[in-house]
Order: sequence, then structure tokens, then C-alpha cells
Amino acid sequence: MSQFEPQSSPAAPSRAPASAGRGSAPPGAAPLLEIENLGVGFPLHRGMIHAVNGLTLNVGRGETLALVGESGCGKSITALAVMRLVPEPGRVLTGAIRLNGENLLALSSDAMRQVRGDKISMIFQEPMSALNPVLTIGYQLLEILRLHLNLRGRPALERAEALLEEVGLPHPRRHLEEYPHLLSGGMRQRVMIAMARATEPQLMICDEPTTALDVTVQAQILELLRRLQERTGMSMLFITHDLGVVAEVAHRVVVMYGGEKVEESPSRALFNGPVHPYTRGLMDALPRTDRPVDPSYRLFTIPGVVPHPLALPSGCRFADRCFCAAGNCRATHPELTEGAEGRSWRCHFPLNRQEG
Amino acid sequence: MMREEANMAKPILTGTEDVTFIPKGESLLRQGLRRFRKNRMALASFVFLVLLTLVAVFAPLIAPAHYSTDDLGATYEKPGANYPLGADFMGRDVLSRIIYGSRVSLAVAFIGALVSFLMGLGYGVTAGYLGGRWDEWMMRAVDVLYALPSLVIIILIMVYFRAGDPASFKGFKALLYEWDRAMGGMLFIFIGLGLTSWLQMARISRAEALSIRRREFMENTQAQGLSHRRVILRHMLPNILGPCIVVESAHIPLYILTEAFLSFIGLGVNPPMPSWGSMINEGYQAMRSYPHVILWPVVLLTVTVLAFNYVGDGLRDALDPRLND
Amino acid sequence: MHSYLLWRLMNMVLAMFVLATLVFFLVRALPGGPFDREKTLPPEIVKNLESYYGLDQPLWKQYLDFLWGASHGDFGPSYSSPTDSVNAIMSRHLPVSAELGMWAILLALCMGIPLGVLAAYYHNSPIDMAASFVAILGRSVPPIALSPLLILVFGLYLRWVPIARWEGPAHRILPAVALGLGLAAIFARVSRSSMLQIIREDYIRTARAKGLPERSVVFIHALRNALIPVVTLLGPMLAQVLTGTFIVEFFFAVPGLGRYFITSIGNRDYPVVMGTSLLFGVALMGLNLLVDMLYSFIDPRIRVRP
Repeated sequence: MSQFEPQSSPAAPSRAPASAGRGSAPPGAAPLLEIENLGVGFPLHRGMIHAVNGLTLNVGRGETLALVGESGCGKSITALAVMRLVPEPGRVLTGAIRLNGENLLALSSDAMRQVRGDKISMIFQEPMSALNPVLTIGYQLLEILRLHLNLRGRPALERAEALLEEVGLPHPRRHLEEYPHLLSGGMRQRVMIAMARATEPQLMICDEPTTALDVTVQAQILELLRRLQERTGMSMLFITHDLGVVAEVAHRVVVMYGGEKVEESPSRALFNGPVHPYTRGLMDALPRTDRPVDPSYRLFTIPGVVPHPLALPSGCRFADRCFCAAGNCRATHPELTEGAEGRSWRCHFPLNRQEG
Repeated sequence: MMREEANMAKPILTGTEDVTFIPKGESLLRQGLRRFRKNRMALASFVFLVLLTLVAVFAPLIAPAHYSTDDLGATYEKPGANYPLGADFMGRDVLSRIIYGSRVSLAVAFIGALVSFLMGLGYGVTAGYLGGRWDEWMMRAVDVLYALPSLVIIILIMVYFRAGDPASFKGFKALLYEWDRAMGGMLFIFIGLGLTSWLQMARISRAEALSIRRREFMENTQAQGLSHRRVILRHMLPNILGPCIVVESAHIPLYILTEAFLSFIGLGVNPPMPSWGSMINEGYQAMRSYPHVILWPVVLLTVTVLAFNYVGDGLRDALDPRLND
Repeated sequence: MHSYLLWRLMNMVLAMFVLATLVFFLVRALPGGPFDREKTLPPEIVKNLESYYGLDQPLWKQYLDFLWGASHGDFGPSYSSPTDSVNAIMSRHLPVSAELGMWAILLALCMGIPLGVLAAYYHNSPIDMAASFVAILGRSVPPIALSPLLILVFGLYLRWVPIARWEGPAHRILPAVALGLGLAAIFARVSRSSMLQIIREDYIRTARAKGLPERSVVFIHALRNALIPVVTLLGPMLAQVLTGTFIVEFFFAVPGLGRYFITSIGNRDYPVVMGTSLLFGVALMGLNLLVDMLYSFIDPRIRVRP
């Protein structure tokens, strides 16, 4: 029984078929990005913090994969690991990350540098601080064009203007000469997207790009990203904690908790019926707009807190907060179970075990 | 800079956002002490300063001779049995003069800092607390004074104090000169330093006072109807003192060096009271033939300033480690 | 921007006025003067001297004359050398001090900043430790201690460079080092901590995510931001340079204005003292203003559009 329906707003009717549950790559096509058994850890003198544990996922061509979870579940670190930008003292402990079959983790630094910003690009969460305040927008845009596409002078300027226009900035030529502090957050994020698009990357990683923005601006940015993807066929790895955003952009969803994958599913199927209790909890926690306002209505929150990374339970990591924990949940760590239609879950007592 | 409103759909779950492990219940002060203790140079410097203070306090017991005991037959004697560090141009024992000189430097360090701290703090907190036009005019005065070169001013002040003929003064002025003479010239040094160094403290304490004033808990106290004085003393000051102390202790090396400079050019302590600065001047004359006379005050001055620098840095790192990584 | 500039200029004029008043009254209250010699002078000569120096005028008139003269850069004749005007004295000695200060600041910038940046880049490596130690040492061995040390080591024992007077290029070396080493240490420390902070900023991560070579990330993206706090240091540093020049000129017998200032205090040559004090004050304030303008030029965030 579904408690959540992906909204199709009348303002953007084209959204309904394009969003949740749309078919992605033709079956059998090789995935663009393969993450296999990724483990990332932070060695502190108190012990090793495993931020990501045994994570395996794929992103197909032309598809948007959403990586969902709350703060600290390891989703941002996963994204940084793909770019090989995990901050010190963290490092990748196990696994492989393949782009078109080539293991990025095995590349030399120079080779990886060439991939970064060219084949894979990334946009970040805080547009206010992601741009260098003492360099003009134009400079920051042109340096990518010069570095990866060898464009200079007039052709570079023209391309830069075109990029800014593509992301919906009204006065591209003027913006090129401006400094970032003159732009609003939404505009800066558009600039970031333009910079990420400059080399027509195969994969764009978006790390919570709308979290720091106004709701209305958020909708615009998501719309922009969706349009760009439809037009260019690039893949997106979309990191977010917000299921509402997931419904708007994602073809498939991977839910993370405590550094590991706990559920994976095509988007529509997920919203129709989540399998993992945690996913169910996330959905229940979304504010409801389809019921009449009831003064006694209380926002649902999942009780408890995320386990401390140095004190992870030996059984299921979600057991302490799970409303249906039972039996060996606390004792045995559940393995990933593969189901039909690309769904999988990590739970001893999954909900709605098989869709009818 | 424009602010974006936080996304309406905040993180769904409450829970610790932070992965760092904070030991339970450790107060800020104890954390600070722990960090300070780990900083070896700061700790060593602190120990050195404590020892130096003891030497200064017990100078009459430790020094082999009084600082003014001279022996014109033993001028510039090399270090030896009679004179552990040698003798100066009047046959006075260098070691004893160094020991008594530490009194001057440490007195300037602590009392000078205290005077400047109190003056600046009083002025700044008042301005910050009163706010409005009071604050505006008080700080404008500070801005104008801040532009003046404090060294030139302190030199002029000291010239003014030193050039008077004490015998001709009456009343309060005579009393001041009397006290100053009794203190070997230190009183006017304190006054001079205090007059020229309170400005920065005033600025900082006022900034801190303003930021505290804007915080919510101050509104609470005003809502509770507490008296002005109580608000300042109990609520404002404890929060301001920390950063202000850190800032002021970073100035101490400057006070020591300023006093050394003043004594060096003859405007500081009254001879025969020794200051490391005046000893450097005296040693300069015979530097080429008898370097031992200038060497020791140079070394002591450097090491003491170094120690205060380390301790000041250590304090700052301990209480706000973000500033220095 | 313009209103800010105007406000600063007004501030400066006000401060100069306060300084001039302070200087005048402090110095005028001092005993001693052109006739403070051992031998007593006949009254006619005293009277002549008084009128020559304008000391027979009432105090308020002397004050106004002083202000008037000062605003024209005319401070009258010196007490010690009555035929020499204070102006002439200052214009002889000031260039020397200015040159010394300039060499010291150049040394500080060229040594301190690269050292600090390197230390930040190779954070926690032996290079960093060594640079930090040198920085602390430089900060703690002030000119008053460093000068005699340099003279002893390089002048007397090693005899590599001259240690007195100001006659040739080699004479610039030790005084500039004595004055500039401490400043270099400060620059090193600040540029190091600033660099360490900047390297963590989000836009550096963006720059790396673009695939930029580390060289570009450090020198183009990080350095410019990191240098901003360093520039703000220049202002307060000027006052330190001033103190230092007094001391360094004394030890190395450099014929600069600082040394002349000190000796004229001893000689009770008050017109020189007043003139020099005012000159130092004006120079300091003017340079501070320049530094502030430089700061707004470097950081586009605080530039105000016309």
C-alpha cells in the first residue's frame, strides 16, 4: 500500500512520464559507472571509522541514480571517492570504481586529474562558498575550457557564454566579468552547473545541490538538471537526503544507512512500496499534504539516533530504531538479498516481501 | 551577501549530524587546559616564566651582590669566580644586575598588561553595552587616537616625565615623582604604557561586548529586568574575558620590548636601577672588546620574549584551536 | 568607496591636529631650550635668542604659529644648530631611514611569504617544523637584541660585511636584516596559517574537482585569497618598522632620521623633536591609508561599485 505518490504538478505536465519510474538504459547495456565493494575509512587514533562499507552499485548510461540517506551515512564520501577527492586522513580501503570498465582507483594521479572535470564532473552543496571569491566567473569557467578542451580567446568566450545561457542565466556576457559575491545562491549554483557541463561529461555527480537553496529555486535547479540530462543523455549520480527530490529526478534509488546499502530499487517501485523499514520510516517522515489539516497530526520521526561509527552494532545497524525488529535482527548482520526487477534489500524481515 | 533560506524540507531525521567523538561533559576550560598541556614549547615556556618570576621576587636573596655595588678597580672584568657573568663598565656584577633587571621586565609585563587590560576593557565594554550614540562617539575618539603613532607618543610622554625637576613640584605632582623615584622609575613607565596601549583592547572588548549583546540570552536577562550592572558583571563579562585575555597576553612581548627600548634610549628606568634595555646600551660601548657585557641582557631579553610568545600562542591555540590549525 | 575615503582623510586630518597639539604642549612644557648651557648668557643675547625662536610670544600665539608652520612643513630653526632649519635636517636624514625601511620590508616579503606558503603546503613535514621554528625565532629576537648579535657575529668574528655607516651597498645588508628578520617571521607565520585555512575552503575542492593541476590550485586559487590577511598586516607593521629604525640606526651608525631624533631628545633640541614626531606621525598615517586602499584593491568583495 503506497503512502506516497509522486506528485505530477499541473505546471509541468511533462514531468510525470519523465520522473519516477521512467525506463532508463536498455537492458543489457553496460553500465557507465560501476562501484564494486567500496570501502572508505578514516583512521583516527581512537580507531578506524568505516564511512563506507562494501558498497556496490551501478549507474547506467543516461540514467539518474539517487543515493539517499541521512547525514553521516556515507553517501557524500562515496561521491568523493568516485572523484578520488576523499579528504585526508580518509582513504579508500577496498573495492573498485570503474568508469567504462576502467578502474579509476588504479589510475595515476595525473591520469585521474584528466578524468576529473572532463569525463566526470561534480557540483556541490554550498553554492555560496564553492566559487573562488577573488576570481571572476569568467575566469573560473574559462580555465576549464582551456584545460580540458584547449579552447582559448574568442571561441572560448563564446562557448562560455553559451554555457551560461544554457543554464538559464539572463545576461551571460555581463556575468562573465562579475565576481561571485554579486550573485545569489541560485545563480551561483547555475554557474556551477555550467562549469560542470563545460566538457559534456559522461557522468555528473550532484552532492545535495539544492539543500542550501530556497524551495522555489530548488524546483528550478532540479528542472534544469532534468532537462540537461534528457537533452544530452548524461548520467547523474544524485546525492540527497530528501525523498521529495528523489521523486523528481531519479530513475533508480539506492538507500544507505550506516555506511552500507540497505535498499535498491527503481524509483516508482520504491514509492509504491518500500521494502526496508528504514525507507518506510523516511517516507513516513515526509510531511503529508494530501490529508485535511488535523490539529493532532504530529510529524513522524524515526526514533533514536544513528549509531556511532566506532560503536557499530554487530547485528543489523538499524535494529535499535526499527519498528519491526525481532528475533536475530540484533545478533546477525543481514546480507543483501536480490529480488526481482532490480530490487534488493538488506533486512531479515523486509516489508511487502514480494510485490504481487 | 545574500542569504538563502534553508530548504523547507530539512533533514528528515533528528540525530547526530556529527561524526566526531566529543568526550562527555568536558568543559571548555578543561579542554583548553588539556590542549595547553600537550603543547610542549608552551609548557616549557610557562615553567621558565614561573622560575623567572621566582628569581625576580627573591632577587635580594639570590643575587650575589646589590645591583648598584660598584668597584671601579674591576671594570669589565671577564666572567670568573668573583663575577659569574663578568662585570660592567663600573665594576658592577652583571649577574646581579640581570637578576634585578628581570624584576623590571616582569613588572612591566604583568602590571603594564593589567593596566592596559583594565582600561581598555572598561572603556570597550561600556561603549559596547551602552550602544547607540554613546558607542559611536566613544569609538570615534578611539579611531582618531588609534591613528597616532604610539611609539612617538610614548617617547614624548616619557620625555615630559623625565625632564621635570622634581624638587620644584608641589602637591600631587611631587607625590607622583616621589613614588616614581621609589620605584626606580617604573611608575611613569606604567603610566606611559597604559596611556598608549589601551586602544586595541578597547576595540576588541567593545566588539565582543556587541556580539554578546546581540545574542539571545542577553535579551533574556533584559526581559528578566536585571539591573545594568548585574547584566554586565554576571552575563557579559565571563564570555568576553576569554578572548580578551588571549589578546592581551599576546601584547606582553610588546610591552617588554617597549620598556627595553625606552630604557635603552635613557627614558626608562632611573639609573642605577638596571633594566635589560639599559644594560644593552651600556654594553654597546665596549661591545667589541668586552662582548660579555652586552651578551647576557640580549640573551635574557630574547628568551623571555620568546617564552611569552610561546605561552601566548599556546593560550590562543588552547582556547580556540581553529585559529591556528 | 568615495565616502569611505573621505571619512578616512578627515580622520587623518583630525588625528594630525591632535598629534600636533599633543606634541606642542608636551614639548613646550619641558624645561631647557636654546640657552640651556653651562655658562650663563648675557641678557641681550638671551633676548635675541628668544625672539629668534619666537619664544617671547604668548603661548597661544606660539601654538598657532606652530600649527601654521607645520601645515606648510616649516618648523623653524634647530636649537642645536641655529643656522640649520628643521626642514633641512629632516630632508637630509629622512631618505636614509626610508631606504632602510624599504629594504627591510622587501626582505620581509621576499623571505617571509614564500617560507610561510611552503610550510603550509608541506604541512607537518620537517620543512614545516623548521620554518615554524625560524618564524618564532625571528619574531622573538627583536632588533634591539638582533643588532648586537649580528654585529658580533658578522662584523667582528666573521668579518664578512661592514657593520657601521651607510656608504655602499654592502652597508645596507646587516641593518636591513636586523630590521627585516622579525617582520619576515611575522609574514611567514601569517601566510602559513592563512594558507592552511584557505586550502580547506570549498572553492579549493571545486578547483580540484575541475581537474586543475595542483600548481594552479595553490598558486592561482589559494594564494590570492591567502595573501589578503597578509596585506592587512602591512599597516600595523609600519609602526614596528619605525621602532626598529630607531634601534637599528643607533647600532649600525646609520645616519637616518631615527637616530637624529633620539640624539636630539638628549640634546633637548625641541624643534627637531616636534618636527620629527609630526613627520613620523603623518608618514605612518598616510602609509596606513595607502595600505587600506591596497587591501580594497586586492579583495573584490569589499570594492564598492561607483
